[in-house]
Amino acid sequence: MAQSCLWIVALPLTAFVIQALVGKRLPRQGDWVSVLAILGSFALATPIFLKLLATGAVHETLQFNWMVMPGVDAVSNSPILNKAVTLTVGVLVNNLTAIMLFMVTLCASLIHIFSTGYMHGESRYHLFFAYISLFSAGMLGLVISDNLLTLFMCWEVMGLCSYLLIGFYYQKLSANNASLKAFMTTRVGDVMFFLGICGLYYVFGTSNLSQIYEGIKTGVGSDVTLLGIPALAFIGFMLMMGTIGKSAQFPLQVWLPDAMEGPTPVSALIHAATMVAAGVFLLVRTYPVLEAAKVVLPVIATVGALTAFLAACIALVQVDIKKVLAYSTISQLGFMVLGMGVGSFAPGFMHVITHACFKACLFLASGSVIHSVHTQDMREMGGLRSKMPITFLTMFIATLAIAGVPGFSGFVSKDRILGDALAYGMTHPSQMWIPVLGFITAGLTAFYMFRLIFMTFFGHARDEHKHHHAHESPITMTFPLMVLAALSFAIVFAGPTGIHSVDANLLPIHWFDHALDHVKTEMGVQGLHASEEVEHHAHSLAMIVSLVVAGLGIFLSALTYLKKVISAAAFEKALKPVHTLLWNKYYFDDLYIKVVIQKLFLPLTVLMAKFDDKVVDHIFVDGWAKVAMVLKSVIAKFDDVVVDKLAVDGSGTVVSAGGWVLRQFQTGKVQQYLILTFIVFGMLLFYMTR
Amino acid sequence: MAQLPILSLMTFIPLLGMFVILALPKGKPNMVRWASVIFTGIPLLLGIWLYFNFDRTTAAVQFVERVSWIKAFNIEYYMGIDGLSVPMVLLTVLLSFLCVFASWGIEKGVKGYYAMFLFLEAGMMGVFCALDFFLFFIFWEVMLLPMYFLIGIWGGKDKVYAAIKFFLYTLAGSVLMLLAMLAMYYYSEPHTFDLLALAQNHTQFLNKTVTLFGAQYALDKILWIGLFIGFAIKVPIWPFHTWLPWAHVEAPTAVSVILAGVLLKMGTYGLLRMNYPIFPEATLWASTAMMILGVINIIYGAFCAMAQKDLKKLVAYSSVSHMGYVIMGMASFTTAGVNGAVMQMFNHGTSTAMLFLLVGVAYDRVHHRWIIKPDGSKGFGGIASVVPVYTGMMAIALFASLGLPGLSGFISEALVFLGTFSNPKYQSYVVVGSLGILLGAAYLLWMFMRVFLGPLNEEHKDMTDMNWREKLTLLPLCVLVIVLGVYPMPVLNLMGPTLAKLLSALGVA
Repeated sequence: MAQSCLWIVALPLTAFVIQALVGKRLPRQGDWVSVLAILGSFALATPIFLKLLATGAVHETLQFNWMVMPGVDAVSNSPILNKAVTLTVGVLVNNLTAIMLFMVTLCASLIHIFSTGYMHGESRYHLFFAYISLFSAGMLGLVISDNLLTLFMCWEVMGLCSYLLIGFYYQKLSANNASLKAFMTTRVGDVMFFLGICGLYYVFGTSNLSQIYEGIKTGVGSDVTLLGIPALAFIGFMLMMGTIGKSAQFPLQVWLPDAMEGPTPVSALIHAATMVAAGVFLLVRTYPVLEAAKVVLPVIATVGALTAFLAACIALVQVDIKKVLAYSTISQLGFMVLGMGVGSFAPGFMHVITHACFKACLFLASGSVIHSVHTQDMREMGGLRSKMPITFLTMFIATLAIAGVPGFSGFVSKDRILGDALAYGMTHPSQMWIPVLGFITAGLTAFYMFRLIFMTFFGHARDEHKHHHAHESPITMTFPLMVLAALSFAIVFAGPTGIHSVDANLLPIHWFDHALDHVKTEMGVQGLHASEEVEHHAHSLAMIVSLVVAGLGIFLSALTYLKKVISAAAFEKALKPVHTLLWNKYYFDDLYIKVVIQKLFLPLTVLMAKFDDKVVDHIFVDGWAKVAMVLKSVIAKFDDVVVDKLAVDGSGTVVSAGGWVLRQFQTGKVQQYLILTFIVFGMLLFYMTR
Repeated sequence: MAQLPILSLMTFIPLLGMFVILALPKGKPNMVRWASVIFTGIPLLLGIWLYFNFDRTTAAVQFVERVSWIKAFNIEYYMGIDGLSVPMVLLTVLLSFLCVFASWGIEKGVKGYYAMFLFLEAGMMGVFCALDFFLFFIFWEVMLLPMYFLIGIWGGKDKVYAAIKFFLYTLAGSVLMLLAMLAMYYYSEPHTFDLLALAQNHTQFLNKTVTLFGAQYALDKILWIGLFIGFAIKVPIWPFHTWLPWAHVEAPTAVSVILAGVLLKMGTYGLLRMNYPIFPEATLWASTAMMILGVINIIYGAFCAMAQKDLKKLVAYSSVSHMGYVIMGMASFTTAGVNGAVMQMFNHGTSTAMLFLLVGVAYDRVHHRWIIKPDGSKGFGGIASVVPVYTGMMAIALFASLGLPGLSGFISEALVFLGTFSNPKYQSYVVVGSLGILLGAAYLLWMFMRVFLGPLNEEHKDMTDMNWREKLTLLPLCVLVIVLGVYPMPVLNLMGPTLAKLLSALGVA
């Protein structure tokens, strides 16, 4: 099983190598290589997943030595830490892995197939497939990694692919800016994530996840401090920053909407279903550490709640269909992070999976629409329902899922997260605002998603010309939509309605809960801290509230955009300042780019370079100017005379060069630079004697 | 085969090559070029043999050659390599060989150029193999001369200025090194230049004082500082780095490659070869200062690189930044940190060599290197569409350089950070130093965007892509960068035992 996991990663990786090297020369530019590779991975991931369904638990590990550095054991009381270091890499297959592998290979396969239709005829078609193959290898590698070092490596490989694919249309300036922005913004988080790994290595002496879980269970690291704060808190915050960067949480959310510059399948695969969810997956994988750190989880909950709400607000005013989905992705990721923060471990992870399916569906459907009408502006769409029935229907199902309508997958996970959040709020009354914000966001989500559906598919065509040319997409594009839409039903994850029911022992139906229960014991996750009574009460209440807000959202949306009873324009006018604030994305981009980078960072670099040139360099140069003038004439002469001479009489060169060096010593020039050197010398002496 | 003086062969075959080339008839540049291929190729083959025959289980020096040379001063011809020198020796023979091809386009004074180049290789090999300080010093100085001429004659616009600057800086360091060497000789008992013996009896330098300018100082610390400055100029450690941008920018491509790929490593090699084992107490005493300098290098170099408008200068400053990681790892006194530092010496050698070679490729075609021209207009822009292979190679090189996981730069940086962070004394330095990773990505990708991406600058629409010679020159480095990025053990296991011993020696101090 662990062996086959290696193949799951190796297949797309091989496809990448083939595509990058010879893809252009293959028939169909080799798209089938990538498609076959990912289908192969899917075929290998399926038995693992089926085994999970059949037995309720999978667990297998595989380890190799990666770097071995010999040392001497334990010289105590020494500033020298020369213990031998062995870094291992390997595979950890547990229930989380099995579920993720299945979800990722499935989504990736469908998106690969979709891409053969969507990207048809694009230049650099083979490279597109090379990149998404590499991306798939990265994501799958991340999922199977048993240690944080290789997890980090795959994490960065995905970052690279994201960079390459956002900038796929590299002659477009906006695409270049977006890719650079994405790479740099996520890298802020990545660097901190790496510091977190350094911290884990310092505390546990390893980056292996299983060993870290064991360590946490036995209380390792609880009394260690790091940079003056408890080590686990430091680590927890750093890991959290990794998530904030990768999963586009506030305040590093700025890159994801711009990432929509990439081709739409990329938005679906990387910037909705998998890579951005990897940030949450990191939280899942390191959850015991976060729990042990105590102070971190409330912060994570806060970040998640704020992100979910703030991003949903921006989504309300977007007119670009992909931008709406981008902000909704940020918002949904916020829900997952919120869930992790309040201790809603299993539902939080479930939302990763459900969201992957319905969001991939939404993005691909939007891609199908864009492919058909050649615009991303929803104001130029409308009435497409009859023209593209499959796209409409699948997108509608996915919208029901994201809006949290019972019977659909999004309801299952979101309702549970909100229930847990409410229980958390009831246990910690000062944190009550978190579930409240969550409920408001759920309502907003329903509102803006139905706004999207109404503006795109209902009403009359606002652009006759574009509407006239619209057509349903080919089967390669609609087939993935249908599969993903099918996965957006609640029955895939829980009972037919998705309501948390009493018959939770039915394995095939409640496979997810069973799998996650097992993982929780294995990892030592405690989860929500609330009494059973409170939890029960909260969940009943939460379900009612979330049904009400979702209904309200859909209702208001229908009134505004379908029936036009409420005028959106009037609202916009009345709330002008709010609209401006949202339209400018709370001015985060302006703050970062116009202030931090352009006003602070770039001038600083110029200043430093000037300092280097004018101060550091010139101090030395001026002192040596005299010497330099003399030598200059020597070398000029040498250029004329010796080079010719060199060709004639080689041995003479060595002699004359040697003699020349000796002359320099004899003529006393050496003293001049000695003086300078001694100035520096004196500075160091001062340091020594203080 | 074990009896063969392989190190001497590797050192003196290029020297022999120099004489052969000088004896070749005038006006046959291709004959000179192919002769250089042979005379750098043989050391490369020997190097490959060495790689497979080097015993990775011991810290002892191997392939030793030892004969008495100047009896009166107990000076020996003492050559030998251990795990610290082997990676550097391999890097030297590889880059020298590749640089012969990178220099193919040189038309001016071909004979003189290749003669100097072979002379340089001999000097570099000698430095990494010598175990007698006197011998080491001779090679060190020998190397200076061809470098001076290579920059001063075959360089760019301000070549003379750059050459002199390089020469003076390095000579200043040499003077200090010379003084330290002589002092070590006179203070050791019996008088010796044998580096291993000096390390063995390192306690003899303790608790002695020396009077300078009327004040008393601890002998070992003074000697440590003398050597340190000598090596620091080479590394270059801030504030001794200002020769580097000039020398790199003015030097011809191949010489820049050697400068960044090999010469810089001599500084850190020297520190690990001399300062660490011979003055362990002083090394411990100076560790915080080294750490501070390392962090300054990382950040300062990165900031300066960010502001550069000349492609080559940007790469030059990135070297300053990347050598900072080496200093940081060395000063961490942890297994992972020191291994990472030596690994970084090797990996920086390959990735920077790629970057310089690639800058050279562009320069050969368009005769400028401006990212932004001095008048503010765009230098390149959008050339990805006309030179796709070149763009791909550059992408690999710069992602390796910015430490992208999966490529070699990441391994060494990760080890340096992991190691340094596991020493509680230096955790805050890691936090500051990690800013360098961020800046590294920023200046390299920003450069990439301005040069390669965006709409094509029509000035360069006729730019031709890399030819086979150029591709083959870069291919071995490309392979190394990727292979070592995934599985670094082939190089890492060379150095392990030696570095373990080095660290333990510090530990008992």
